[in-house]
Amino acid sequence: MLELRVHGRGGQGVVVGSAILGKAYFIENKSVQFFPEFGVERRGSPVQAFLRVSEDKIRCNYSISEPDNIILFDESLLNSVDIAKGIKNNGWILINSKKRPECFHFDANCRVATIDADGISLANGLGTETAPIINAAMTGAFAGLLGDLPVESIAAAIHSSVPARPDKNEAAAREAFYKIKFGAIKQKAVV
Amino acid sequence: MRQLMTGNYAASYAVKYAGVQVIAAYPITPQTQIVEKLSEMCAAGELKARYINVESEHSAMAACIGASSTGARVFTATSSQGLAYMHELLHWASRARLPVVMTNVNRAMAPGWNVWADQNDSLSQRDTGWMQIYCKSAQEVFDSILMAYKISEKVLLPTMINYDAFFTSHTEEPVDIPDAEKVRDFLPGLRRGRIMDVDDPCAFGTLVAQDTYTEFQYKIQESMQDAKKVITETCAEFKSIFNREYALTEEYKMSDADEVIIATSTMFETASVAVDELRKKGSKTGALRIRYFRPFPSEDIIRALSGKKRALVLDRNISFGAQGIFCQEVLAAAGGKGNMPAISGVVLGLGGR
Repeated sequence: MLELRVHGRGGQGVVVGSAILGKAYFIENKSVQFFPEFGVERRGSPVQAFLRVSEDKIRCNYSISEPDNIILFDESLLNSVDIAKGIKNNGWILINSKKRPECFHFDANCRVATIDADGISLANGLGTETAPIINAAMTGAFAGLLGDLPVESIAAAIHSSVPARPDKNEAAAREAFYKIKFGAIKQKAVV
Repeated sequence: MRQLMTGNYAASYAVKYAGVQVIAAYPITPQTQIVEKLSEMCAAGELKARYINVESEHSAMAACIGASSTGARVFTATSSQGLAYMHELLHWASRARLPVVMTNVNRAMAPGWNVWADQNDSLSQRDTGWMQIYCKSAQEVFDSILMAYKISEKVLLPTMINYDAFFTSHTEEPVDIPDAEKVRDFLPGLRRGRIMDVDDPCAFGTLVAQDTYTEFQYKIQESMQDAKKVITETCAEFKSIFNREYALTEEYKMSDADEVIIATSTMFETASVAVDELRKKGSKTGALRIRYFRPFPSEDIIRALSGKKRALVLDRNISFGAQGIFCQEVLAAAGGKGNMPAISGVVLGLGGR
């Protein structure tokens, strides 16, 4: 079973982004369970979403405390939230950042990858400088990083999930997918 | 067609497929998504129901009672304090023998203010004469609503479909949405006998004195007992059409078990994972789910527990000054019966913990 935790801020599209990932795995005939943080969410406040993916029916009904991988939409959260908490050995932390992976250090045995999702999203006409819409780019990057999801499934999930401009979202996801997959943005293991 | 869907949207779609004619509801977290989606469906014309905006849950149930009295198929949804606010009219709906169907998303009672899973809201309504189901998944929410209309309209008692806040209400899972035609075959439009009709006026809710009140109560009790047979038959018919199996209770690895975990709603699913873990360590553990709380499936529980050594009841609720409510009910069912295990209970998971 694959367990993911996604961190971001209210309004950044953490919930829709995680739902896109869930739907993409579902398109690949996996069993999927997706839930946002059980809380009262406000714009700008830290939010989380959780995703379980399995070959078999999922019977666990509780929060994910030891995720295999973590996705971080907003690096400023590193100042206030213990992002790597509970991550399994050698798990990936994918961060939306212009910085290189080796700029980030976690008190855990994990790997870090970065993707400039802000830049990719803006270049594809999604959102504004102050509020880029990055969920499609982040899902594309994650699929490229793990390599277990074809980009076509991400594209199909985007078209059935996003409320507006599905083509631009798909383009952003594809760009992030290939940048991560072929190493245009460097991914590096750090401890 | 299989789709990813939250428990709340599964409820909305079931209401649409059931051909509900009147919806009256007041929003409350974590239920709100159900009626939001239904109001969208009504506004878009894909659900031809009358959507009545009301100023409170008390009025929502009053509107449902009025509409159901005219013979309409009705629906409402609520949670926690909203359900408590309906209390007076819950009695009215059942004693007027109206087949109202309602979803209640189990949420903790305040204070302290808490929107997470807890069963004290619906269990506080134990004696209102409503049938109560506790669902473990979004699929079961969808299926239970369809079956509830069929059962309620036969038994002439209302049904409350309960499921856990967030663990089911806001969690997306695969849900199999059947063909609308198949659903229509299973659940045709509502046809009932005596209903409120301006062309055939008659009195409702009149004075019933000492000489006959008991008889009316007796008939409700009788109907509740008969409901077990109706539920079993309806589940069998549902299985023959949709190939999904339900009953008053559910068992997991019980046949050779010495010790039993008894749980409800999503906790049962997690308990079944625990059963597998305990069995790896050599314990002979099984799990039993109480799906219907009213009518209480005493016979099935006694049969399942017969010959077992120990049973532990998990309660996401508490009756202050006594103990967990499902544990009390299991003890009452097992009392005086032979061959019963040692039964104990633990209260846990309150307020979504």
